[in-house]
Formats: sequence, structure tokens, C-alpha cells
Amino acid sequence: MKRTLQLVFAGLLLLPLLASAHGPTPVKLIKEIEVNAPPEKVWGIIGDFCAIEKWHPAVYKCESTDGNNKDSMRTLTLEKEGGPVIKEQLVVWDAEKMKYKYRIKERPIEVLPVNSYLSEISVRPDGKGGSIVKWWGRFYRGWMQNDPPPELNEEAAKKAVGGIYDAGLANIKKLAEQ
Amino acid sequence: MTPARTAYLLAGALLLAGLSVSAAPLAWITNQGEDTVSVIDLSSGATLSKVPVGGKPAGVAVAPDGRVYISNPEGQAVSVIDGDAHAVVATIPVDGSPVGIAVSPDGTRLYVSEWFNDRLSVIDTRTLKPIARIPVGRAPAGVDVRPDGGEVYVANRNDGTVSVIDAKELAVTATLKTGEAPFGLQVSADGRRLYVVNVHDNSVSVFDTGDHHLLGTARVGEFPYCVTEDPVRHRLFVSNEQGDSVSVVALDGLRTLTEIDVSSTPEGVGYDPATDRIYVASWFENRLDVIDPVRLKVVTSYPAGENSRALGRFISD
Repeated sequence: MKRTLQLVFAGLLLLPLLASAHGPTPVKLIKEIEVNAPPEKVWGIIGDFCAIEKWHPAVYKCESTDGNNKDSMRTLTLEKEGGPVIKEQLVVWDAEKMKYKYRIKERPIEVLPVNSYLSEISVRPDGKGGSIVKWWGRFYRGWMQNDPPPELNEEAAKKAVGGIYDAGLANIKKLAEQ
Repeated sequence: MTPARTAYLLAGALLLAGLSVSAAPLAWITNQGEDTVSVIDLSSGATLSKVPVGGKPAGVAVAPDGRVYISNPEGQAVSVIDGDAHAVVATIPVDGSPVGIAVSPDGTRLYVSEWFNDRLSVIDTRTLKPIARIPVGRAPAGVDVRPDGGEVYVANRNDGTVSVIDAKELAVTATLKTGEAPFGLQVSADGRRLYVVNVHDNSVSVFDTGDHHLLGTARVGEFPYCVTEDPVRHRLFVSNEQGDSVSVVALDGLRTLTEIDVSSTPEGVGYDPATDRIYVASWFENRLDVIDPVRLKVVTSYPAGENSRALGRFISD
């Protein structure tokens, strides 16, 4: 998240995610964390689409157009008032299965060098009274043509998304185990 | 033993080998995340082999002679697999990241879309050399051939069009307007219709292959990717990549009948007449779901490999 902060100060350009913008090979990234708290409690913390402003350390503010309903758009402001903005759309929200799925519609490519990003976060029992939180993404690298520069290649995309997942999951664990 | 007798015995042995191979329907599933192709026996669900190919394989085309062609977008190549030996016997360089791949009904030609070059490569399967490179639309993806071999269709994802290529002229003879972001496509078993999936419109466009007019559009689920036809019950099965489902569409009236829950992030979908089942590859869960086309539900699921894709005609009988 240090990198995100530096970029905030550098000033950012918001690039819309173009419909056409990706290469031919998607990346899969899966992160999980064990939480010593029952799934209901964990879902209670993360379940609402806009609750991310409370559990993700990089998210300063979240505003949604339609709560937890399909196609609801949340606008995440990162770090501080006036910080970089990410817009995400709810695809599936399922309280019974304790999961939701969303896609990114707009992101600053310097913060998040990905295209056609789809993600799901879910909570399931670990069989010992606790929970496992799983956060996964399917996305394409930031560079839309052959021969990507290093800052827009697959590794850069994985690193950026992985950093967001790690920071969020660690804080979910902290909040749920309090 | 006389030479004639030897030849006779050899021919008999080859015939037997051929019969034993064709007895079981097989699925050839590209596993993008581990650079392999799973060879799955559809009568048992057993993985018979994992064939290393390389280069993040995506597309599959099964030829009538038993060969299987695989597109490797990151490897900038097409792998040629011997269908009996389950081994790569040749690699054809194709630049511009090949994605969609289809073989002519007589097995003599391979059609490959070059995603970054906006071209369709036509390759002679005997010499493994290109015959032609035909300019098409932007980001060409799914490719299929009419059963009479006369026309080839390419979905141009970034143009919202399909290029129609005359196989004799090796030239684009028509460009059809689809919905937004066409990706997977398939020609009907009788060759009369073309089904095109529109990823960003949650729809399927259906064209008449005779005069190329749009017959209609069917609504499907979230982010559809690929389509296959059930020619027995006259229905389409469409994988909805972000809906974790398969939409079932009646061809009569293009009505959506139901949406079947499947494993997460379904991509390639195909119908196998021998087992009378629909097969759909789950990219996220690394498996092949099996759908009963009568009961319209997943009846079992077979393991595949990491990031299963299986774009194209991936079943051999």
C-alpha cells in the first residue's frame, strides 16, 4: 500500500476499462486466509458490497449506487479524500453462500495494471469452528498488445492484485478475531 | 511369411488399433495454467494422458484423421498432437498470438486466428506451411468451418463483427454485424446456421449461412463465452463465464429455457453425440462438468488441469 500512497501524491489519471482491452490469456490469482471466528461473524464484517471501506486498509471511502443488488456500482476512493478512484460493479451477491462477485469498470492503471478484471470473495467454514476467507481474481495484464513493458506485464498485474488481497485478508482476520 | 501376408496382417493390426481408439469418445482440454492438454475418456471420466504443449494453450480443433491441433497464444505456435499416441508430433509457428482454431472437414486445412495481427492464417496440414494469411477484423477469436468446407467464420471481438471467408477464394466475402465483443462461435450440425456469442451483450446472434442474414438474437446469462448445439433436441448450450452457468436456448423461437448452475467460470462447451452429453470446461475449478441434455443439470464432473479452457471443437469420437 506504500506504493499506492506514493502514486496518490504523484497524481493519477483515471483510465476507463475499454471493452476491447485485453490480451488473449487471463491470469488466475487465489488468496486465502484462515480466520479464528465463525463464518457468520466474518460475513457480517465483509458481506455488504460497500463494507470494504471498513475492512480494507487502502480504501478510504465507498459509495454504491444500489447496495447489494445486481449491477450496483461501488466507487472506491483510496487512501484519502480526493485519492485515486476505482469503480466496481456487482455481478452476483449471495448471502446464503456467503460470497459476492464483481468486476472492475474503471481503475487507474498505475495503481492497478489490469484489464477485464473479475473477482469473487467468499467465506466458508474451516471445519473447526473457524472460517476460511477466499479472494480470487481473473484478469488480463495491463498491456493490451504483444511484448509488454515490465510495469504492465503479467507479473506486475499479479503483484498489484496480490498486494491488495494480502492487505485486505490480513485486516479481515484482525477485525474478526478481535 | 510372404510380403503380401505381412502387409495383410499389418493392415489388420492397424485397423484394430484404429477401431480401439475410435471406440471411446475423448475430450481434449487445454489447460492454460499448466501448459498441457488433458485427454479425458468421456465414457469413464478418466484422464488418459496429459500432453505437454507449452505457451498457455487455449484453442482446440479435432481433425477427422485423429490429429488434434492446439493454439498456444503465448507460445506463438500451434501444437500438432497425434490422436493415438497422445504426443506432440509437430509445432507450427504462428505469430500474433493464435487463439481460435478450426480444421476443414476433409482435414487438409487448418484455420487459425491471430489475435494481435487481425488475420486468419490458413495452413496446409500436410506440409504444415501457411497457404494464406487473410486480413479480418480486430482481435479475431473463435473460428469455425461450415460442414461442407465452403465457408469459414471468424468472430472479431473488438469490431463486433464476424468475417465470412470463402474457402476456395481464400478471401473475406462478407462481414456480419454481431453484438458487442463476439468471442465463441459454432456452425450448426446441418451447416445452415451460425451461432455467435456476444460477451458484452449477454446474447447469442443466429445467422443464416445461406444468405448471411440475422435470424434472431437470444438472451443468455452473464458474460457468455462459447456456444454448442444439441442437434437432437434443437437447443443451444451457452457457457456464461461470469454467471457460473450454462444457458439453454430453444432454437424454435430462440427462447431461453433455463440457466443451469455449473462450476465456476465456464469456458469451452461441446456436445458429444456418442455419450449424448454436454461438456463444459471450468477455468476456475480445473474440471469438466457433464450436463445431461434431457434433465438439464450437471450429473457429474471430471478433473482436468489448471485453468481449463477448451475453446473450439474439443471432442473426438
